[in-house]
Amino acid sequence: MYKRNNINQFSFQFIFIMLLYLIIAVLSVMIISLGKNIYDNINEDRNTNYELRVSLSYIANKIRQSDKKESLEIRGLHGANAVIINEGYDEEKYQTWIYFYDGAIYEMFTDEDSSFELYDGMKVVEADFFKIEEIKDNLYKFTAVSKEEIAELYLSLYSN
Amino acid sequence: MENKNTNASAGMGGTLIITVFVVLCLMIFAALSFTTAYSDLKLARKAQDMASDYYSIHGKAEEKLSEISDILFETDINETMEGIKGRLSGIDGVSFDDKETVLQYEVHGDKNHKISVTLNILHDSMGYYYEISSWNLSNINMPDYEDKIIDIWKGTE
Amino acid sequence: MKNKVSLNSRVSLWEIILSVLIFAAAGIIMLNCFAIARFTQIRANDKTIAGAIIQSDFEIIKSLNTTDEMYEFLDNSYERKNIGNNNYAYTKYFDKNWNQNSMDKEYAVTIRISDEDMKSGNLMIINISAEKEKPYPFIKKEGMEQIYSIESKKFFPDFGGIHGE
Repeated sequence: MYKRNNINQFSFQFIFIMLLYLIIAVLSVMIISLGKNIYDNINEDRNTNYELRVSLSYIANKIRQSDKKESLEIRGLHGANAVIINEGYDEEKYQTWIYFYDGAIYEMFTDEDSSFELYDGMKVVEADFFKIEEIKDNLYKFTAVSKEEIAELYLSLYSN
Repeated sequence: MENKNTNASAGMGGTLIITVFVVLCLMIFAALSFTTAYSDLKLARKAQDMASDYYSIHGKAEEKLSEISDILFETDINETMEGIKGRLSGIDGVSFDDKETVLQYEVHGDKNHKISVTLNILHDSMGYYYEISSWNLSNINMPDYEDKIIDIWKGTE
Repeated sequence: MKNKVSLNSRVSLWEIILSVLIFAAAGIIMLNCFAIARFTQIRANDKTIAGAIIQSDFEIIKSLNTTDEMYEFLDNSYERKNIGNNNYAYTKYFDKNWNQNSMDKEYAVTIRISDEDMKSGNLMIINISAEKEKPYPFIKKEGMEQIYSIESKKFFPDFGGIHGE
């Protein structure tokens, strides 16, 4: 009888300790996945912030570097607006087209008025959406969207 | 016959191993999260510094523009271009192009930025005035694109 | 006799208690690290968005031709406050998602303008800054925190830049 009680006690302790082990193991897994989720969220936020910041900085610098007479224009390109920067090198005229296509901002450097396909351009930065609007002669509005975050930037020109 | 009983404890140290593993994982995630966020903050600060520098040199360019405008405003309609050039050249950094009526000046910033301004000096019946032909941002020093010879390992003979 | 594998319950329990204590101590430190990382990322995001808003407002001012147009734009978009000496500060408020909201004042963008009278126009000295009303949690700073600031000038010639216009 003494032996049976001993065996019962032993089983109860064993089960209790095993249960504790199990709880600790489950909690450990939960905490690690929580840590992983936090890291994932921070990484996603960083990517969104990067896309917004780089797309607007890129276009701002391009516009500010091209603030010369007849250098900048906005034209339609396959249903959306594109920024065209006119430049001349060695007596030849060239154009840089900046447009949004297939989830990214593209840049295309080409001869003046030559035609090209949208996929021929060089991908600058990815974005969910990018819009170019002319508010008035010397004021343009650029809207960048990345993972439902919207950022707008107005840029003005002095030479227009 | 001797009874030999060997008792071995099961699972001893297992919990501590799990704890060490979990703490290590959490430390790695925490460190990664912090370095990721901090690197993004540093980039955002750099972008802010560049924008600040641009607007600072823009302000200096506007200030020079106001000085040029004052001189043109005070200039008599009968004044010759030579006289106007002489007065405008008194402003630091202002120079004239080969064409007599095109004025240029540059304003430099701290982050390898400069704004180059080109003005057309025009006049009508009311007097002399300026028209902004260009106001563009560029680098002071361009990066060095010269090809450098790199020693490549050619293998063993 | 067979060899027995038994569980030394006293040692196991102490082991578990020790593990839980180590867990708790490390967990508090890690949670703090995660929170600091999260709010550092929020600071970076805020800088980007504040930068876009501030630069946009300054570019709009740059595109205007007269001081009257500038003051009209400021009066329409901002709340005006007299800061003494006939100088005004223009402020607009944003909520935590950077939507303009004068009730939920999480962020404030303030424009301070002073002018230098020139003979042929007005040279406006414009300072635009974005501040957070309350400091970021877990990051020890007191009072309002400045997120972004630019200072620049804009010259408004009396005749709009070109005679006759």
